[in-house]
Amino acid sequence: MIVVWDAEGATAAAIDHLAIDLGKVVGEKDLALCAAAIRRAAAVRCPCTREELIDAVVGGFSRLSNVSLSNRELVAAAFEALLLSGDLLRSVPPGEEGRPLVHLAPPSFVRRWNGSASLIGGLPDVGLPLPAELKPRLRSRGGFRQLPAGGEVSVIDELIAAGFSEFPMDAWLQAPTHLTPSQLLGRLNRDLDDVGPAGAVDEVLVLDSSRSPRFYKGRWTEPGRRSGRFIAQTPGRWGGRRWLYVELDAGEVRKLVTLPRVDNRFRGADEAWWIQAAIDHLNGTPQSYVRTRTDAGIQVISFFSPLPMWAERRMYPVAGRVAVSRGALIAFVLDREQGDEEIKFLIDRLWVVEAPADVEA
Amino acid sequence: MSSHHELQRELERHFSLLLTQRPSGQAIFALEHGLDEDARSQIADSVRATARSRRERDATWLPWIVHATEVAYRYSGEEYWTSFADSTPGWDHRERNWLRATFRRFAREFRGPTPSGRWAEWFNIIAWPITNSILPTDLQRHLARALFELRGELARHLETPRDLGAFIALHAWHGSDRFENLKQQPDLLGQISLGLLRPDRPDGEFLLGSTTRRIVADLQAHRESRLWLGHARTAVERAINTRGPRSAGVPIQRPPDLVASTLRASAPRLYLVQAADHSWTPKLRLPYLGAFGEIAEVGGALRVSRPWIPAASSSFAPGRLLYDRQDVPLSRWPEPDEPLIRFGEPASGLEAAVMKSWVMPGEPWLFKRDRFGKAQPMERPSVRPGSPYILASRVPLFSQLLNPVQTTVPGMNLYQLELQADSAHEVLDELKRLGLGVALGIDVYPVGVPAAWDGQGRSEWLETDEPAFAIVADHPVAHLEVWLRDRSRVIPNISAWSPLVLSVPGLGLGSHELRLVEQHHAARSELAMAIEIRAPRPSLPEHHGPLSGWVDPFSSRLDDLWAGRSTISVVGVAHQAECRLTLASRSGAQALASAGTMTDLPLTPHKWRALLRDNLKPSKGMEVAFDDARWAQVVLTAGPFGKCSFEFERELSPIRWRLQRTRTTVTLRLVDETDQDARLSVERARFSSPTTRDRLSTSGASDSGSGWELASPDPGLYVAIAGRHRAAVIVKETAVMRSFDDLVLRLTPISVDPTPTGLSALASEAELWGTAALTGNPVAAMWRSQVVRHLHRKLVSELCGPSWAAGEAVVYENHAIGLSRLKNQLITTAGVPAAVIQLVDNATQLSETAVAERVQRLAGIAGLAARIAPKAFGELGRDRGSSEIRLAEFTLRLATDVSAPRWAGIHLIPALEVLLAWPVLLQAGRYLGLANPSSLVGDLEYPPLYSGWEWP
Repeated sequence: MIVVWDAEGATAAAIDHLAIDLGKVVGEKDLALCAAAIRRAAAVRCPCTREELIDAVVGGFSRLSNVSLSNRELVAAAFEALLLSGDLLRSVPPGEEGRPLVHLAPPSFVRRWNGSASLIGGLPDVGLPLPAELKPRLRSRGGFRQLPAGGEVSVIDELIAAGFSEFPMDAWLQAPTHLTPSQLLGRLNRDLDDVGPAGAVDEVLVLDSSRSPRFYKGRWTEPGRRSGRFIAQTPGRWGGRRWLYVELDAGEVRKLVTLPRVDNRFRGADEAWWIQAAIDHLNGTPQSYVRTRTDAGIQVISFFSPLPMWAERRMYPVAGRVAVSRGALIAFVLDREQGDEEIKFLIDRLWVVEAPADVEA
Repeated sequence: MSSHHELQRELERHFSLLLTQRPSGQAIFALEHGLDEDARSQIADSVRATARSRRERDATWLPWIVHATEVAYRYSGEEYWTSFADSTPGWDHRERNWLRATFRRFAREFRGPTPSGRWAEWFNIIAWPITNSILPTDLQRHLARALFELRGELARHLETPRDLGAFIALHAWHGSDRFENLKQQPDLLGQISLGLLRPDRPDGEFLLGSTTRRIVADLQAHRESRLWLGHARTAVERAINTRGPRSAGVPIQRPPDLVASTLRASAPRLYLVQAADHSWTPKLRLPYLGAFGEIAEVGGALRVSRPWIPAASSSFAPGRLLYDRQDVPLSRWPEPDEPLIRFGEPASGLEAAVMKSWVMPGEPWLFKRDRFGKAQPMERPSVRPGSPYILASRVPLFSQLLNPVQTTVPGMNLYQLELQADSAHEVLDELKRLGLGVALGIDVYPVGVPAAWDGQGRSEWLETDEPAFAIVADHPVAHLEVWLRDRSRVIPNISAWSPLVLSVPGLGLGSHELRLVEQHHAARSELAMAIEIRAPRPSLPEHHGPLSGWVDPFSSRLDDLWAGRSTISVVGVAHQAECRLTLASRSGAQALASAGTMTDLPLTPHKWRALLRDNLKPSKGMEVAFDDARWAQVVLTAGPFGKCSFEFERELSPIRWRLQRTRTTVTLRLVDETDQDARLSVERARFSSPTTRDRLSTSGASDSGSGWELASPDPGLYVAIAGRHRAAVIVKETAVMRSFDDLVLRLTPISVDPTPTGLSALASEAELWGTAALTGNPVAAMWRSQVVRHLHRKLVSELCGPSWAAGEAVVYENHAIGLSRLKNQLITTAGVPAAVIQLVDNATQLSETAVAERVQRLAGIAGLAARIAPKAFGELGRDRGSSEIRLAEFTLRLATDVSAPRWAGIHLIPALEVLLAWPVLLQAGRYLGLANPSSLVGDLEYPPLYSGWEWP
């Protein structure tokens, strides 16, 4: 049978098909939909590269009606959200440093303190092997899928019976070894001292530490005539970005090391943001957060620089991500009584400081 | 009237009733007694009360049938008669023939099952109660797993128990020896499986409802078994609800072109990858074998074969092909029509089946580049303006359209080709000269995310998808015909650049083609889109996540794992994993011992052997636990990347050795379950003189029902023979170590009769030592290695001569000097053929190719033996070609392993005659084996004898 559709009808049908595994969407619908599309692509295409996965989604919806699924930036954001949730995993095959592979995590769950479960991964070709009786309870927020506690049988028991494995919360929250800013930077600087001269590096952007950490996007700039050591990025050979720690001499890249360098379980971006936090701390301009308490018994914690994946994950067991305001980059909402442990962790590991709520960016 | 007789009558009534309910042709099992736990304990009482009286037993034979079956239901491949005696006080083992006669009576009077197959011949008494126990607890797991693995196809085979049983027997992949026994009885296997899969059917149709519930309840005690059976039942239920079962008169047909379309959809594909230095390398995407689950004529053969890739010169374990999306880099460009993958014995006939779909196509080879440094092959050689391509050619091409690009493949020419959007019409002739066409005007691409998309003309979808395509024309189209098979639809008036979407729901499994025909006045242009529809690929139950793992060569036997004959490979991610080996008395039982260690992935066979030897076996308690263990599991856990696991069980042979330890004693026991009157003989060879065997006294062994035993066995090889059955074990128990000197093996010189018969005996001794079971003591493994190497060197020395043997000894001290000496000796031999010299010159390179390729190369030389020893040569095969191949493989096996005698079978003596007459052939084989220094293995390690020479 051959059925003819117009572009809108076809798009709607494709979206319906993708939305099956989303359940009730909380928060940004477009991001959740893009995440569903990436998961579907991962189920049939992984292992493959990040760019191939994003292209599979964007290419499948391009030139149709104006949908979020053809918005490369949004699909890329959904991809990162799935790395954050743990749905997707990254590995670097030997000899293929420029072409890391992405894998779909096996069907697993992370048990949350309130008895609910965050669902991770899926099966090749199949996707999320969730029993039919649990599907109505499924909720999605961005790259996260959750089954709230409740019902006669515990969600955890039902998931185990359905073949999901438990992924321990402490393993999900795994972070790099605890280092002081000096230790971290000292290690990177020694590595940079030891490498030979860099060849020609095109299209470099550097993160200018002299600019305010309260406006992350504004800190990225071309090298100009700068000299010194910087976090930097260049376009990756096969798409994406390559994160670097570089030494500039009058705007020329003299030396470079590719990140991650300290802990290759994490992305280059995670290590770059961690190193930048150390640089800012040692420069006396530490990165900051703002805590806003409301009368409704909740608080919003806003950050102005990106958090490494291992730091952002710390917030999810107790907080939900919300839309940002006032120049912030990421914000989380949580009960007033919660979050102290997580903030303490960020102070300890990323050396952030609390800024007054009324400070403008 | 005693209660025993009452029980007898009750059971008679019960089984008689069942007989009237059960469809003819289906067996009634003694386990279908319908008794609850209390009643079962009454049976036990009855049996105890009547055990000593033959007359009483005859009068209450049904309780005895039930009792013996209940013992069998709990049987886990251990010792049936010991368990039976323990639960039957007063039982005289000499009465076991009575029990068999009683089960035969049950078969006659109540249509009880009759065991069949090889195992029933071997275990000719205990096969009866075991068969009647339907699914002993240790088999429940295996069957649940088999049903799970085959769940997607079960619904096609529900018509009769035989159909289902035959399907499962043919396609169930893994399993223990005991499960293999069950597979030999497809009628029973099918009936049991239907009972488990169809709880919706009337009670008693396949199995008594209460019996099914009991088995399912026991099976559900294990999480995985419960899941497997649950998924299998759901899949069958879903298929029946959506398609209707055969039994309901709606046959579920296999698509007529399934073989061809599955072969096509699974075909290996050559694609290109660009490296950081900009050069392009060809890679082969391996075919996915799991898709052949339904195709008996192909699947079975593929699984037992050892595939190799001629253009990569590498062979790999067939288990690897059960995983999707795996690539192998190629070292050369395949010739047109050359098989991309080949299959060694015994599946060489299979090549004919796959040849058409799995060969390298002819030129032109056009690849479409993506933005990520990859280029996918185009089925149709047409280029689209504005898209980048790579054109590959064996001869240099000269054209203004082509720009050369670098490649790692010698002798190949690769060119980049990208037409400007406005230049297509002007260069049509030039493209035609290059064998290419041009795709103009209309662009078609999939909507949504298909399982695969080559970027131009081929997409792959799952059976559960609804394929849809967007059509975008760069000009107004007045009349577009869309064809799918013999149906068409006309779409009028398509505006330029305005996407139109077509969906093609309901396409069945297999290959389809969507054709678009644009008719514009007299001109007609056509565009075709290949659509492959495939079933979702089932996940292997013991693999969770992106890890892929297999046992190579495949075995589910614990002894093969422990001895290193089978190795474990895991690939998928470069990561660290915890590798844990657990030993237990049976699956689900508490571990006897467990050892874990971290390892880097990928895990190679070499790395696995080192892990096993250096980390797992030496861990506390493992050595002792191994001797008691009947089951083992290896689990590799890679954190978020998941895990994969492998299970192993003891071989179940009618006679087998067990080493039993107490705090103060060590006893070597021979379990004899042949239940035949064949005479049992036991021989022992000491490590120091491995070819001399002493016969040990076995008087009274068979009467006890528990075999034969020996307290504090001396170190050495023990061989037991009963009728056609043989079991060998290597024992080295050192109660007290007085000094390190106790660890040193002193071997005495061996004298050999240098005739083909004498040498075949020596080769067979080496093989026996090499394949005997090991006990847990690590010294046993080390001494065995020394013995095997000692015997093998002696064999080589006898066949190749002492001067050659002296040269080989130098190789171990100084590889380069020794090899040069051997080469010199070989090429200066009078009348040595040029082909041998050529082989020796290329030996290092050749030693890195697939083993099958090495055999092919040596076969060219082996044929020359026809002139030297024509009679023996002629005995090796039906014709010259098969004799050449057999002699070449025999030579290389003999040169590098001890398994040649079993492989050669009746050809052993003539093959040795040829080698004795013309030692140059074996010398060439040995040279090849020794040429690569990395193939030399230490004296204390075995297997393998030579690394890189692992024979299937």
